[in-house]
Amino acid sequence: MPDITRESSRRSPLSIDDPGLAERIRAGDRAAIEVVVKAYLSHILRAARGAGLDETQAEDVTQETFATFIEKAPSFHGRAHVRTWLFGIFYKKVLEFRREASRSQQHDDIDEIVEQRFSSDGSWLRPPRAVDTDVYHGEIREWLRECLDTVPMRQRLAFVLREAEGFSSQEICNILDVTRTNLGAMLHRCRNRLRECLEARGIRGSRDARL
Amino acid sequence: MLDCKEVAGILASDGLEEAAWTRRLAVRFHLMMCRHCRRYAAQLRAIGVAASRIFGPRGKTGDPDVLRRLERTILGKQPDGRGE
Repeated sequence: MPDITRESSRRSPLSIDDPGLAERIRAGDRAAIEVVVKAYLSHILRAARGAGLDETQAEDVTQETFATFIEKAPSFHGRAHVRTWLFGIFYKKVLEFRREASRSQQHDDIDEIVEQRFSSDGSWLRPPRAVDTDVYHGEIREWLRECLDTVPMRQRLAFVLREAEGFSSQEICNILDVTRTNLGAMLHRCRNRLRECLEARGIRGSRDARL
Repeated sequence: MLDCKEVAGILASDGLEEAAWTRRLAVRFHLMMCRHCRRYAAQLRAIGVAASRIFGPRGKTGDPDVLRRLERTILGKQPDGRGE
């Protein structure tokens, strides 16, 4: 484990995009490690909540992610962006907490549900309901939290990294160690599961006609 | 010509990201012609916006004290900012 308390005050101020950052992280430079912690602490904590961890678990995962990051700093070669590397560590920590199989799921019930919405010629059999802006921007947030709890963790994390963190598909593939085809299937399943869940709530709720 | 099922599959899997311009054009054309798929696309957008408001940078980051406490723990600092 590198000594991150090493003095580095004589070096120039660093930013997260500094080209020399990787080298300084590798050297266990405290200033470089501080830059990474300050830049990504809130992102990791949010992503942990987004992955469905409760507050205590989210804080634990965040702390352990950065502890491992600091411990493994000497092996960071800068081939990937530090953010990708950090989120890769984070993903492994989340898996430890959720103890969910990291292999891709071959079968998922949502595939059949989606299939049933289309006729044999590929056109909609049960078309989506029109989006009501008020509903989608109001209740949807509360409903979405609940609906996300029905989504398997890996799909959920792929979706959160995509929509909330704005990662590119390639970055998410690197973080979750999946192929682009796998990622597409995960996003497809997650979004359709959320859509079905939200539509079902809309049908049962008071705003039936409007969702 | 793409059918609704194909278009829905492309949209939900972010399949347009690396698609050739001809495929993008085909999806765009389909969306112009098909209100059901436009609704589907609008639902996906709304879900994405809602997710980013809950979990994205504009969402709740949590108590600033939580972040400060975590930062201190991670960097091994005392509350007054000194290193251990």
